[in-house]
Amino acid sequence: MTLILRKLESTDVWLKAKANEESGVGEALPAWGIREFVPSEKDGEGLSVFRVRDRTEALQVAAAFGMSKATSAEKGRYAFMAVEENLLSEAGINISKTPGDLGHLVVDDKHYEIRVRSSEDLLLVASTFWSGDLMHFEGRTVLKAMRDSMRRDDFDVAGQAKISPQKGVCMNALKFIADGAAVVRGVPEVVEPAAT
Amino acid sequence: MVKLQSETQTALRDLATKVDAIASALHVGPVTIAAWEPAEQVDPSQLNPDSAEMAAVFNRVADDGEITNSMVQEAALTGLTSSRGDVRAAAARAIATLNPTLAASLLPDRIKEENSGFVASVMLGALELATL
Repeated sequence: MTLILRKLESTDVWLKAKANEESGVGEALPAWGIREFVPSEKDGEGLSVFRVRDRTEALQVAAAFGMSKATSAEKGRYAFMAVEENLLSEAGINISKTPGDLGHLVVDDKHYEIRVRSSEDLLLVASTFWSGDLMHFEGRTVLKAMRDSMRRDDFDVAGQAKISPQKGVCMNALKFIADGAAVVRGVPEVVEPAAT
Repeated sequence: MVKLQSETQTALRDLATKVDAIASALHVGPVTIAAWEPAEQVDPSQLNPDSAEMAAVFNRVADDGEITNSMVQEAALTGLTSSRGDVRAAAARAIATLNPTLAASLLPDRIKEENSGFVASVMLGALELATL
């Protein structure tokens, strides 16, 4: 099974609305729900999504987002709407592979885009994802996945820091280095002096 | 008496978190922001157990770890059977934060019994955290 993930920003609101819908007191797709599927000005018509096989790979995507957070990565939670790829294609929605820019070498390779050109496209995409499932990860679970990714040298931290030194990637990477939890590409590992 | 944090306090808390991270990275000792007052303890018995406010309190427990009194854990255990999905989900998150051992024993059965796929997904995330 292949899943397509779209990261959510308003997790609490989605949860409340979905719970209401499931108990028969809410709308099928509230108007605000469409906002999550509007491509950013930077991305033009391309809506960023990720193609994964399972929850483990989805956690890697969350870890990639965690590194780019401007606040401590372990704070809060990470949520995605996930739909099976064949449901998208049956709805006439195509995805195309484009390079991601999260600085995670594995996750950036799973990055795709959906072209959202019109309000009709937007409604179709939003309603298709609305029918999908939630994938929800706690911040501290994501933090552990980030450490694991850094140990595998999946993050191009040095490259990301050069691109945007103000991004949270610097803060979160510094924390890992200080904890001695990670060796970062381009940054030498700190070796504790041997006890005498 | 429940007093939710003002936006200013929330902003100061976020700032304090960033300063802590930088201080930790630089091997500097604890840094205090004088204007920041930690959140007041919350008495959940003052809240309707089936309300959005209760879900918000449980989510604050999980997100900030600031509210840790035993009454909140008791309320969260009750919250697992709330008629509101957002309360059940938030209660699971709070229990995973306050008492991971308890969460690891309780949540597998709760997830099986949960009717809402969304709530079950949040509970699964909480269970993962409890069993890290």
